[in-house]
Amino acid sequence: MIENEHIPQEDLALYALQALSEEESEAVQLHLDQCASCRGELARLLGNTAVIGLSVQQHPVPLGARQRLLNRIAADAMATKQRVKQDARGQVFDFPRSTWIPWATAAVFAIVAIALGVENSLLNKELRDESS
Amino acid sequence: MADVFDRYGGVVYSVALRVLKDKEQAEDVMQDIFFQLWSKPDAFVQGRGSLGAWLLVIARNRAIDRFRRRRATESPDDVVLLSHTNLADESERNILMEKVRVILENLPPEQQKSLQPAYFEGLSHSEISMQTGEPLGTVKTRIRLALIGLRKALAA
Repeated sequence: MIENEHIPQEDLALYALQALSEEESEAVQLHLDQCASCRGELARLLGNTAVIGLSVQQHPVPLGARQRLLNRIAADAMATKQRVKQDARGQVFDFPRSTWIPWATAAVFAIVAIALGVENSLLNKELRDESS
Repeated sequence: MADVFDRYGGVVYSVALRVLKDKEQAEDVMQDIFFQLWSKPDAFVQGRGSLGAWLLVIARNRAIDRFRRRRATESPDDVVLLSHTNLADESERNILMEKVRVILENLPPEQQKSLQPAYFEGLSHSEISMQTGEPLGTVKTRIRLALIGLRKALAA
């Protein structure tokens, strides 16, 4: 069934309702990945199953549920904003750190080299003075 | 998001409540669905079908996952459905609700007995077969016939 033939409609209907066993579902999924025709039929079956949900008795959402959702969204948006800000700040510090460290090292070496040069010439001068 | 919630919150919550029979858990499912829709709006691709119908499928599937204490069996991105039912308009929705109830009530009792536990309890065909004592093939056929009957009646 799975490799070459289309999925029997019974199985597709059960798949739409997630009423197949795990192994059966996996086999159907494998076929669906390659078969546009069966995917189309599944989409139609899912459209049919969706309206079954409308048959249930309707209840109003619990008191405060809307506000709880909006608060959760606002909190998440705020956390994301802070994360982005921190990342940006991290980048600002990271960039110069990665650039100034080699320069600073070079500068230290240059200063040490100059100091050694000066010390060397002072010692040479001292040696010349002593020998004369 | 507030508008989408106002429009579809009730139907999503009602489906979750019907499956879970627990207000707190049904609200959790509803909150997660709308939060996911906000954080990942691309999961629903316009043009594939109506947002209301898509939310109903996700609500039912999430509620069943929770009811059966299993992890989410699919990502919302994977749910592609073809539905031209307009659930955005409340009066149209109410008419459709009534129509669907009548269609389901008029299905042959044996089809109802196979479809209801599959849809609202997430029972597999083999579980329904064990519960009803009907052969596996019979259960499969009844579920398919119920869905096809529903499709035809809706189109009529």
